[in-house]
Amino acid sequence: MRTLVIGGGHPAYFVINAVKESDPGGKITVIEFTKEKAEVLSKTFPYAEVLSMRIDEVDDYIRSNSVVLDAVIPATESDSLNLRYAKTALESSIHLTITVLNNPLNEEIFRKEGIKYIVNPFSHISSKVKEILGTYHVNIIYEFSRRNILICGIRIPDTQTLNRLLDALPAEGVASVFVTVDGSIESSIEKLSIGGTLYLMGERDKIKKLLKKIGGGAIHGP
Amino acid sequence: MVLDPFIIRLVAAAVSFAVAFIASGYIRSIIKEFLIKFGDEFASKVSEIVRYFTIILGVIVAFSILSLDVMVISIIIGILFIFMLVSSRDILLNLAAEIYLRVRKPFDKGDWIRIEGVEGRVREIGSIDTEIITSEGERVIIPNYLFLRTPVINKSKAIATYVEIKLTFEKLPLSKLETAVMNALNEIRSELLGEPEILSITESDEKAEIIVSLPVVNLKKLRWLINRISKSFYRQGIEVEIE
Repeated sequence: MRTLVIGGGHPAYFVINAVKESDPGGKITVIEFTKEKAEVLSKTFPYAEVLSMRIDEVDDYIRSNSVVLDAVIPATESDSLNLRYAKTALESSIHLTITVLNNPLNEEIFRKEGIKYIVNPFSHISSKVKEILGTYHVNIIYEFSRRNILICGIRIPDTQTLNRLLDALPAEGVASVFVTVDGSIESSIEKLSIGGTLYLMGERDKIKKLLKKIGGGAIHGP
Repeated sequence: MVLDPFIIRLVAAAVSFAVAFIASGYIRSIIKEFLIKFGDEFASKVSEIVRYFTIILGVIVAFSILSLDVMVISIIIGILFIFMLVSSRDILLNLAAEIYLRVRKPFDKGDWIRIEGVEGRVREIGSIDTEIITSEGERVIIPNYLFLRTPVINKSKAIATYVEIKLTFEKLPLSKLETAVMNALNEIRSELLGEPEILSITESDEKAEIIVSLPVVNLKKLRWLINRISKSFYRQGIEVEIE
């Protein structure tokens, strides 16, 4: 697969590594705006073709290579540039366009512009902090982009929550693992007890409905 | 003073019509709010239709209060119904198709779909039709009602589409052909998401046919890939016909 990554900062670094790992035989082209950075990048990623280009030249590059490019990943340190390049790629019918956000508040703007695949690196901060503190009620750990799947953790603080969970589970399309207060791992729903944490993985809509059912405070996803 | 019973019925009919008219506005707002998740344009359209139905209902109730002959009311309703059905057959069909596309979501904007032999990327889903762009760059407009009648294949669940191409050669030793095909496929390997595969080899007296599968992400590049495969065989001194 031929992938174009735009940018040379930290987001692009992780993107290039992930693309190489996912598609070892593919071609990666990286566009960076400053020559010095481009030189460093070509040494860091010897398998990639690194081009130094002015900001305004990138759109033309995308358009003129739209027949051969399979994926475009704008990962500069500016959301406005990422949005602009993502729109150019989509307009050029490069469907596999993935953007990396710098400001999580811009996610909605990207979505409204028709960008389907948005990587929000900040989304994991909340779930990670909650997991470390361990005092959350509901922790949405991961929501898949291309699959209708969600992973979450639910702490069981009282009998009411326990009973509601026992009522709702087992549910078709939802797998569960329960970690008791003393840290032992159980796969049976009958072992649910107060103080433990139930981890669910399965159909997004079913789990969200279940979370609504057990209620208890706002549910903040990643 | 005793009011004429007809005037009382007239007032009651007017009130029932007024209530239906006012209620239709509220119903429109509620339905619009409920359907807004399927798109503003769609929500407005459906809520407007429901509003008109409510008003028509008010008119019918008003007529019945006026105690017109049951037969007369039935004829009026019948004519109205037939008129609406005939005049809005296409609109209703497209509306049903739009409801199906918005609620069932068989595909999204940007998905690669196939319907009745036409294959392409969905560019726009409109109220009446859906626009797709084929791998050749052609713009195809598909009336939405077709999605109610014809099976649609959504190929976008996977990132790559497996494209099968048929290579036809003049009769040559099979081992030589296989090597040549592998060489050609290796040349385009970096353009694919995954390994290309030889699916079948068939031999006849004069010809050999090899079907290969290519995992392609951007189907727009298919022609370019075929061109590269063709050039590769040319360099290897082998004539090939590619379908």
